Amino acid sequence: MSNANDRLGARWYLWAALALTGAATLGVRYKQMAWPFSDRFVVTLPAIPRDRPSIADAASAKRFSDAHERLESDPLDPIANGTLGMLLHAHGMLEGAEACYRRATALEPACYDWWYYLGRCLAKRGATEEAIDVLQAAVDGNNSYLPGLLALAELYLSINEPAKGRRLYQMALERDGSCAAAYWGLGCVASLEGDEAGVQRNMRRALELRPDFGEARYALAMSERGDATAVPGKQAQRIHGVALRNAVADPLMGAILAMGVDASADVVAGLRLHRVGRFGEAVPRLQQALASRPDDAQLLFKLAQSLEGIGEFDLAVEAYERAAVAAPAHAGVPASLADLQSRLGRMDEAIRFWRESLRLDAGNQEVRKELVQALLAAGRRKEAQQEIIMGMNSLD
Amino acid sequence: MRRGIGLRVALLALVGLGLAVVATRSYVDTEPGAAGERGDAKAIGRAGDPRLGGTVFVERAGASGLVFVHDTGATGKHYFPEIMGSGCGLLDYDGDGDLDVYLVQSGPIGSRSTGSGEAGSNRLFRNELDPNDPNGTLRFTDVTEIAGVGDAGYGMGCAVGDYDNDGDPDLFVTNFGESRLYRNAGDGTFREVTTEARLRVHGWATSASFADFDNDGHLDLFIGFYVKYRLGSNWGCKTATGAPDYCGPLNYPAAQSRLYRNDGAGHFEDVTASSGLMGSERHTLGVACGDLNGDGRIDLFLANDGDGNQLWINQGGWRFVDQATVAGVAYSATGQGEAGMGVAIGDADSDGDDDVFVTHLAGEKDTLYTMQRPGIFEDLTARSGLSAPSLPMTGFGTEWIDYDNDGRLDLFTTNGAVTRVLDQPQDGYPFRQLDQLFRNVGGGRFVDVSASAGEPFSTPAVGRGAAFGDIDNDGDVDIVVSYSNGPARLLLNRVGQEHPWLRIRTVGTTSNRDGIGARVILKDSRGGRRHRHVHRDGSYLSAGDVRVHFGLGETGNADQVIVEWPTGRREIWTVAGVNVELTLTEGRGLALEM
Repeated sequence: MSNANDRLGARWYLWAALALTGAATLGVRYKQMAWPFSDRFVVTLPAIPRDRPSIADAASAKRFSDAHERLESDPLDPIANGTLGMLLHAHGMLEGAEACYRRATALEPACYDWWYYLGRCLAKRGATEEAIDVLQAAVDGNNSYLPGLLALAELYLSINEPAKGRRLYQMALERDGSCAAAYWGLGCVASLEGDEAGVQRNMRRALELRPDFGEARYALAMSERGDATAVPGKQAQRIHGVALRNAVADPLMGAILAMGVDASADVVAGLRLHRVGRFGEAVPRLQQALASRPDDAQLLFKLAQSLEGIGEFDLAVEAYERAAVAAPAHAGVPASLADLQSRLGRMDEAIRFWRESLRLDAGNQEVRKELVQALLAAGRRKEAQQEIIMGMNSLD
Repeated sequence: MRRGIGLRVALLALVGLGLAVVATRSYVDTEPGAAGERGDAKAIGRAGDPRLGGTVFVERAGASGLVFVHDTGATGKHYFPEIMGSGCGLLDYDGDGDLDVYLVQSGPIGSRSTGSGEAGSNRLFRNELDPNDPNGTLRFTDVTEIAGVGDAGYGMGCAVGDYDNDGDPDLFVTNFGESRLYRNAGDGTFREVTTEARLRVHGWATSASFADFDNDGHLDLFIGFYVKYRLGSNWGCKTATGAPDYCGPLNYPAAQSRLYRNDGAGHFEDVTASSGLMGSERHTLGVACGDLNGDGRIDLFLANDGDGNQLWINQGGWRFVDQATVAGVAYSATGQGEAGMGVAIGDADSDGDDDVFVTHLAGEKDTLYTMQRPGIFEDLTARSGLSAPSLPMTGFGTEWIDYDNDGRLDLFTTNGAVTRVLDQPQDGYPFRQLDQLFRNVGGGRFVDVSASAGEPFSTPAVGRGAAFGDIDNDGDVDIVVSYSNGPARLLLNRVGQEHPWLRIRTVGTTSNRDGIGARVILKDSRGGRRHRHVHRDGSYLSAGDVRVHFGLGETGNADQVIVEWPTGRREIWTVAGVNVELTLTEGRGLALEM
């Protein structure tokens, strides 16, 4: 116990020293906190967020529970505060995250991470000027974290401060001369300053470094475009050759994303790829997304459609059937399954699933039309007539 | 262990002392604990203009009898349409010189439309202002049943236009289900003429616009459609915490929007395919028309949700080509398709051409596309000052309005989330945000003055539709705002009348009756010019006053008005006085050479 206390004491001495050094370095007067130096040295911090969100996902709920318990057992532990902040941040509860980060920065002001998270959180909440102050303080104390420089620069651009943005992008290039995102940023600076030659020069440099940098390609195309009336549609298509942005890796924000309850990136990417008909690429992303959400009916449905799109019919049927179990009231699932069975020549199965779809949504005339045609093709005229009558009855 | 804790506190105090001593930068002051206690997540970072004194707009809906509470009809199943409505309209339906208010109702969902006048239907409120009494009290009477416009479909929005050129505004109501056309009979009543006008459209219609695309003097109709959606095919989506939530548009296939040609005999012909629009499905929410390439023909701008926007350039002969990408209005400056909701077209930078503003989802800035030359735009949002304040908001209804009558177009947006705001867990309807007002300070720059614009701007709600016009006839622009699952607001302007103004009513004779699409140019004695275009569309699911309003600044300098009619005719009138409404009839001005 004595050793433990010594270690604890030593840790706090270290923190205090770091804090003072950090504060001096950062040059921060943190007025957000009140420091009433009463006889008993009472320190007032932003309140700990007490609301415990209802988390459906068991693993995430456990993480929240653990984080709260840890913080309650040691409210002055900056790591406990920051960790809860990160969890809240990851789950979109930014107000609580902000409070936690404020506590963490107050308790451990020398720690760059808390300032970075606080700045990013404030920016997302729309408190741009305060976010700039926070991130600027962080950068002043530690300018080695490239994503921090870029995030701050983008905020400066968002408030039309191109000169300050330029300094940061140049600083980023001093650290990494091959940083395409910094050249893209310098192009944006040039755009704000009305310097089209600067836009084109910097966007071209960004594309030399990263030919797949869609945002730079778009910006360059916009800068170089001619008279709209003279540009045919083909060129418009070429201009919109936009890929996802290739910013530098951001391990700090990556840590927050990893705390999310679902594989959001895979969900979004999978759904988007499905939507634009890139089924081959959509399948692995949707499968990855389903790994953390195995009963998500929509993901299963899109996976089934994607599998159907690449000719994996048996797997598609299986996925449709799983979707039907996950969403038993969704009329679209059996309708799609019926379409696929029809495509495979399994008409009895198709008719069964169209009927199931109509049981769930009697007003869908498109499905009823498919069913009637299938019944007629199968020589089941009486059933077809009955369906037509039922369809007329279901009209408004 | 106790010794350790005491040591910590002491050291923390020391740290605090150190922090105070080396201070060089300060942050926003708040009371201790405030960060964890603020109920409104959107209240931070809002700027104000101390000169405004907090009374730019006052809310007077209840006090004036404009009592309307929107009902989403929510069932707990999170049907997608529940979160998207609804809109509102301003129209002088009885021709008595003041603006009446039409408010679109939504719920209950899933029930079939049962006709006009039932509980839960849209409502029309007649403005009872006495035109002969300048100090008259603003009061509204619900005349829905008498007027026959209590559409009971699951309402989305409305478009207003005098499609039959008989001098009174007609009404098109967009629904999730079957949308309907109501013809104004001119006697205080409307008649539903959807079928005889050959306008039977079914699906999820959103914003619509009456505009004369072929300049034949008859208003045609564009109807935006959102997604292909049936209640029986609703997906369940979840928040980041796993709670049930509304899905987004990309969960459903986009629906085909529709263009209809008015044949001048009371019928509309579907020209979607022949005009080149077929096969261009996007998730359309906002619709605004205007001549955006300066060729004299009315083009069509569509704000699409999660897709690139579309700018259908009118080629003449009922042919349209989407040039949004090349024009620079399809995507953000970073080439991303954004969640377009509402749209406003107007001359934001007072350089004589129209700019386009589109409201977006939280996490995306709203975007100002500034026209650089005819048909070519640049995203200058950051330079304008509109980027950062809009980032945390999900914007819907919006319009360029000169609220302070200083001659420059300011900007209003109403905001409200579409998925649960997780910072509002105790709120029974956790989608609330604050509306915003931006003052144009010249040079294409705007300042967020919301914090000092009045109490309505500090009361969060779930904003959707917004319609603009001088409702109390006192010489400035007022606003009706419709909110999801909440009472509509009537925002009366309390500062505009401090400056002189001029209001223009255009009356077409060869052009369409209201002069929709006309360009109105106000010249002052020093040669200065300001221009506006005659429109009712834009915003979100809503229709505004057709009259053009000019604030004249402190000098009140107004010399001449030029109207460029849709038919191409240019005429000039001399302004004899200010603080009046001028009715300018096509053919009665002094003709100008083209």
